[in-house]
Amino acid sequence: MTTMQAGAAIDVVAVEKRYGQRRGTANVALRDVNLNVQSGEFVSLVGASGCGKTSLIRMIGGLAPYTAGSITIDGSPVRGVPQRLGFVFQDAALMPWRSVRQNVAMGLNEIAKTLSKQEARGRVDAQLELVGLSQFADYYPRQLSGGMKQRAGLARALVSAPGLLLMDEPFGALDAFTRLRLQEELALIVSESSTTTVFVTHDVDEAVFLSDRVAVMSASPGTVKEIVTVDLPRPRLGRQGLLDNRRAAELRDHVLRLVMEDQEARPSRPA
Amino acid sequence: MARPTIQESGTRSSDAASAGPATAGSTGLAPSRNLLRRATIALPLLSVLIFLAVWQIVGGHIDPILLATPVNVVKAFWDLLTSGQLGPAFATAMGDLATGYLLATVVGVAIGVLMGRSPIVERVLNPYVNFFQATPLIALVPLVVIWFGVGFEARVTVTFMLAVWSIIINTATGVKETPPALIDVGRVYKLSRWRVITGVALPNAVPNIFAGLRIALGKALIGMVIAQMEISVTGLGGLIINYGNAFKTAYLLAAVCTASLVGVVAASVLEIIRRLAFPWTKGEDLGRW
Repeated sequence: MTTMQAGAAIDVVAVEKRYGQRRGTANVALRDVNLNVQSGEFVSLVGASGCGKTSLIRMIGGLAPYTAGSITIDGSPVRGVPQRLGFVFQDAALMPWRSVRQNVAMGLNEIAKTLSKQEARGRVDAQLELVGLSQFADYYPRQLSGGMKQRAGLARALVSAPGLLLMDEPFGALDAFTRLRLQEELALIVSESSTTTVFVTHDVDEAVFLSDRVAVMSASPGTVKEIVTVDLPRPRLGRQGLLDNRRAAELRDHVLRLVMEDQEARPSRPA
Repeated sequence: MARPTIQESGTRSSDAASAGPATAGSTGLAPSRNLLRRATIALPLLSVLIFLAVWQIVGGHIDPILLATPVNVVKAFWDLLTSGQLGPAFATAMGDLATGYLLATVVGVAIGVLMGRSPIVERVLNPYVNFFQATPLIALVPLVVIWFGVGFEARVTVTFMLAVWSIIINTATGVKETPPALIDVGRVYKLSRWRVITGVALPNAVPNIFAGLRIALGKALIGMVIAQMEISVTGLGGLIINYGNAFKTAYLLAAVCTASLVGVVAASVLEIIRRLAFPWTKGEDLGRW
C-alpha cells in the first residue's frame, strides 16, 4: 500500500449492553467491559459462545448500540460506523451479483472521490494479487470455494488501507487446512501493515498464533475476564513453527483453561 | 502462497459445464447419460405427436362444432393469416399485453421495494394487497368499463390489475429477505440509503422479482384476453368470442393457440432477459433432486 497511515487506537470503558426495556426483566449481555487496543496492535477476543464477543466487535464497528459506558476510537466516541474501517464478516458476505473485483472495489467506496479510476483499479488489482485472487477477479462469488470467498472479503476490507480492521470469526466456517493457510496469510499481511486489528474467534490456537494480546471473555454476563499478552517473537511464520514451541503451548493452555473454567462454572441446568 | 483451486466448474457457462462430464469422460455412465439427454427432446416431442394423432382421429368422428381436428385448426389458422384478420388481432393483443404488463412491472417493483424496505409502508398497504389478491378481479371488469370506457385504456387497466399483485408480493419478499450481513456491508463501506436499496436490496430481490414476473405474465395474458372478449371485442379475444358465437370451432381454436403462442414467446423473452442481464442468477432454479 502506498499510504501508511497510523492504526486506530481503541478504548472500551465500562461498556454495558442490556436487552429489554422494563426494569427487572432486562437481560444483561455485556457488563463492565474494558479493553484498550493500541495503534497497530492485533488483539483477539476469545470465549465460549454466548459471551458477547460478536456483540462487542459490532459495537466497536458502530454496527450495534451499547447501553452504558463508552467506546472511543482515537479519542472520539463511536457514533455510527467509524471512518477508515475494514470489516470481515463470518461468511464473507459478498454481494452475489458483483464479480470478485466489483466486490473488492466496494471497499474503496468511502475514499472513492479521492482516487482516479486508474488508481482505484490499481489498488483493487494489487489487493487481489495480495490475497491470490488475481485469476478469479471476474468470477461471481458462487463460483468460488469458501476459502476464496473469505480471501475476497479480506481484500475488500483491506483495499482502503484501513486504520482499523475488525474480523468476526472470519475463518470459522472453513475446513482445517484452508483455515491454517489463511491464518498464515493473514499474519503476513497484517505484519506488513500498520492496521490495528480486533479478531473474534473461538479457536485458541488461532488467537495465540495471530495476536499480540488475547482478551478472554466470560459469559452471562459477558465481560473481559483476563487479557493475556502473547510474548512470542514475530514474525511467526508458519503455524507448525509454534507446534513445538514451549511458550506457545503454555499460552495456549493458559487461555484454554480460562475459557474452560468459565464453561464449567456455568450451571448445566437451572437450579 | 499456494495457488487457489476452484471448486465449482471453472467455466462461466453452466450449460457447458453440464455437458462437460458426459462428453469428456468415456466412463460407463456416458451412454446412458446420452440417452437421457436425447430423451429430453424426444420424449416430449413423441408425447405431443401422439396427442395430436389421437386428437385427429377422435376429432374426425365428432361433430366439428364440438371439436375441430388439428388439421382443420391449422387450415383455419392459415385462413385467418392470409385473410388479414390475424395480423391486426395479434398486434392489438401484443399492444394491450405489453402496455399493461410493463406498467405492472414498473409499479409492482416500485411498490414492492417500498413495502419490503419500510415496515410502515408494508403495514399501510398490506390490507389492500391481501384484499386484491383474494378478490376475483375479473368481477371488477364492469367497474373498469364505467371508469375507463370500452377502449385501449380499459383493456390495459384489466391486464395491469391482474398482473401487478404477484409482482408486488414477490418483490417485497425478496427485498425483505436481504441478508442482514449484506446490509452491514453497506453500512461499513458507507453506501447511501439510496444505494443500499438500488445496490443491495434490489439486486438481492431479482430472483424473486423474476418469479413474480413469470406468475404475472400468465395473469396478464388472462386479463388481456378477457378484456378483449368482454370490453372491446377486438384482438385475439375478439376473434375467439366472434368465432365462438358463430360456432366456428376450428377458427376459435386457431385464435386460442395464437394466444398461447404469445404467452410462450413472452415467457422465453423474460427468461432470455434474466440470463443476459442478471447472469449471477443463472442456474439458481435449475436444481432438481
